[in-house]
Amino acid sequence: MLLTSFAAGLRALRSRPGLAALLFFVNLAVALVLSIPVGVALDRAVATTGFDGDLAAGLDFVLLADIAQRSPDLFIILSRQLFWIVPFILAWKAALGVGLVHALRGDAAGSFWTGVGRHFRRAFGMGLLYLAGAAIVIGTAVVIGTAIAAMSGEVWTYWTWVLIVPLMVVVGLAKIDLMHDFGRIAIVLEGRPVFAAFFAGIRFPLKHGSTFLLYVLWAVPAALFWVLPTVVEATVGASILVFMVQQIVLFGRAGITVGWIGSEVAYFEAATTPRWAPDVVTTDEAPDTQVGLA
Amino acid sequence: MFLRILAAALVVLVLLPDGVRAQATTIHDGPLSERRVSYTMEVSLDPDRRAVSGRQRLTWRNPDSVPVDELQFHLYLNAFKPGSTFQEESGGVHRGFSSQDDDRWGGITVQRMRIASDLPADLAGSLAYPGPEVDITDRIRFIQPDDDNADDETVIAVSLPRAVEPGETIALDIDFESIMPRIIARTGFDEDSDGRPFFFVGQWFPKIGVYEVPGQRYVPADASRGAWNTHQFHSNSEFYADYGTYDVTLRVPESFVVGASGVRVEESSDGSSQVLRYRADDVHDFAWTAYEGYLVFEDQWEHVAIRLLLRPEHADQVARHFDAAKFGLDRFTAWVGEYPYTTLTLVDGLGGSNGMEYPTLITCGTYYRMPGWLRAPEMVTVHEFGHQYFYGLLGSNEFEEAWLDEGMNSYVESRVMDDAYGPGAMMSLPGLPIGDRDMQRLSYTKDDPSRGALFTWSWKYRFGDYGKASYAKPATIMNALEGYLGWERMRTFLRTYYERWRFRHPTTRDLQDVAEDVAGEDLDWFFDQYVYGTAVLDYAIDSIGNTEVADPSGADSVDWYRSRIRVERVYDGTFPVTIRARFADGSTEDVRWDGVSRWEEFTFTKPVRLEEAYIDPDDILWVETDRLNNRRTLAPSDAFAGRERRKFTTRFQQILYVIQALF
Repeated sequence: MLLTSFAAGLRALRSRPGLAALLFFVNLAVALVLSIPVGVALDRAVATTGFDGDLAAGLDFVLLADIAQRSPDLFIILSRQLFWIVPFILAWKAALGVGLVHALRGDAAGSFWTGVGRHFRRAFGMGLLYLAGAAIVIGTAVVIGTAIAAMSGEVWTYWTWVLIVPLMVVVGLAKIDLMHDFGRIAIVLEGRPVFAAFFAGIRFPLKHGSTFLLYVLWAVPAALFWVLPTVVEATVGASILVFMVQQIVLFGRAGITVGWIGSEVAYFEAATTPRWAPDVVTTDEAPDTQVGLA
Repeated sequence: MFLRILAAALVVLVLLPDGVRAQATTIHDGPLSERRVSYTMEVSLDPDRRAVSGRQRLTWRNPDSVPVDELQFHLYLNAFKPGSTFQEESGGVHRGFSSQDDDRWGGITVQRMRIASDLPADLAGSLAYPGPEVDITDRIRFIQPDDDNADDETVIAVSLPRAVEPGETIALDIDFESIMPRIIARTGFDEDSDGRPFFFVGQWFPKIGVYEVPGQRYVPADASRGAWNTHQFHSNSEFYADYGTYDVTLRVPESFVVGASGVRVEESSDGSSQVLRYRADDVHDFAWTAYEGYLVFEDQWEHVAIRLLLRPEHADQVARHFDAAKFGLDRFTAWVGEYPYTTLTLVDGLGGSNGMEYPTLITCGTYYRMPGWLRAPEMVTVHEFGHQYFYGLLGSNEFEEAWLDEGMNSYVESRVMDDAYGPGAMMSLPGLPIGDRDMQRLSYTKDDPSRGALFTWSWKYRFGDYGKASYAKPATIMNALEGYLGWERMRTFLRTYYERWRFRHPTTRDLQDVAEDVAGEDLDWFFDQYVYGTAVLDYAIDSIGNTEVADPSGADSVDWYRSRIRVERVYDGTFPVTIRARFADGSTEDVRWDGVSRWEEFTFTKPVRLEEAYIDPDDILWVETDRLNNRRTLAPSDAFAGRERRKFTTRFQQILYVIQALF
């Protein structure tokens, strides 16, 4: 089932490139909007100074400090962006999740936006629960790390903070993400309410251990595509051409998300009896006769 | 240099008996300093009681032309008792380390003080008290020369039954016990993660103050008599002492590895304890450390035997420490002067003991798997080694003029680091190399540069200005002076200062005199503003422009322009500076400005338009608080902003993908 699901993800990626484009362009647009104050502040601080060429050739620590001092409003503006960017990211993550699941479901694939319209509210609510879960994972790792460091010497302290805590956080967040994915699938495919979907998301990967392998299968290329833009930039600089190459790579990264979700949907569908109740919204039948309700 | 070392070595080999060959403390024959004091100590370490106890034989020679009837001593460890001025000022926390746990206080108890009668033959003839032993313990009283804190016991005065005549020497036998605090202010005890005790024993014995004679430092030359300069131990102060000789015998449990100032001249063992005897000459302090866990490494630089005591978890950083020490020895010797001692001990101590200087012994400090791009251990090693000069050989008063040791040392340290390790000497981050001088510059210019004059008694600083005004600001100001004088003359200045003042107690005034002699001009304008005062320097291009004018020759064949550069002095500080005009055809013209007026306008009439104006194009005004406003162009460009915007966009996209994937 693991490889079948992975193949299904690859098929989803091939058949729905528009979804990857949607994800890519929304992320790009948000980043571009946020970069406006950065560009304006730097332009205002540097453009007429004559240092522009020097700084473009290589960063100068002292001049950067002068720029930072000259542009205190930049940091204020960037922090104010948090007021909209954090809720936006949470909302977009919820919408993206249910939209992709809805669009990539096996025998009843539909529109991305229809899925968003039908399931967004529950997905957003459940997302907050998983956000709390993520905070607990991070907090727990930090507490454990602090305790180990307090009870041990310099060597253990080092490995605790350099390896153990980051590993705990990454693995913990990956598990949370995996559960979150299946929680969203439960919302879309099983029509579960927020808490039921939250717990279903926790249960499903625990019952089906190979889901984590499937997760890792997609996480590896995702990490490669994620880090590649930084490697390219560090190697050859940050020219316009490099920016274009980076965008192509990040488009590939968006495609991986589509394939990833497609694989998980396929796995879920293969492992369970499909229950399409929420999408059968036009039925006049009583709820207990709806197909597949548990 | 080589011949001198060789000659000294031959003299040592020929004259000394077999048992002490190769154990000379310096490469010179005979005293290098005035040696007003000598300490002979026999002490034992009791790790369970964290106590160092024993007897001290102190000799002190009256340097004044009048009798002296009182002696004053520092009892530095008493700073770590409740209610001391140090505790009051620091709140019990010094650079992040505290001694406030219930039974973790430290202190010195003088159990008995006697005027000695069994005098060494070479001193007996000149001693003030050649008669029978006199107990003066009950004459000891605590004094507080700096404040009215009656609970401060860091300075004692002892009145003498009879005054010490001019030129006479008095010998005292002092029984004392020092209880080491949990490490604070770089001294004390601690346990490693395996529970093994660690000791760094600094400022640990009753230490006589400096008696300044008329004409010495700030005592007027026409004063009728000198005076003791014996300050209390403050949170923001270090130390001040006279040069002399130290002969110290330590009895320490066998299992400990010991490092100390000077040269180990004898060692023996009775099975449970080891007895180690050290000699250090022409120094003004003595410190030592004992810890079972040290790994010992040895290396040699010319005449200097370098010994590294390293904690086992840092065993992979041996080369980093030795390299840094050798870089320091190379450059300080070339730029400042000879390192006359034959030993240098590098100590990698526990936590708060690190980053401190003592004669021929320094504590460095690093962390497990310290990345190579972060040169903190190298910087600390170079800095603390540099104190062998600015503190050690040039014994300024650290209480009153901290900048003369910390600041001058930070200046040379920053030059050594940048010279030895290149761009990114402090941090070689990809795309953003950070040098030592840049770090010093920003630590001063971005931390309210209008506060904290260098010439300030260290405990008088407010708002945490001690650190800035003692380290980063003087380092930056000396870099600016170097920009003004040029590196060659700056080296001459450093070497002359060393030659003139080594093994003595120079002041700010003395340093300025040397600088003026080398510069061949009055430097009041510089010292008054940046050493004694708090002037802030910033010049800015106010505006630039071109106006078309008639061809002066009347030919009218090409367009002529009157180009104008208007510059502004933003704050009160001034500094002579160059202003460079760059024209559209790529040609440049430099003009000098004394930088005194608030605004100044420079005009050029040329058959080409002005394109850019640049104040201080060679970047020698290290003290300038804002370099960005030094330059103005009429051909703006957004290459940097565009590039950074693209980088920001990509970075933020990556963040979004992570967020979308990880919860």
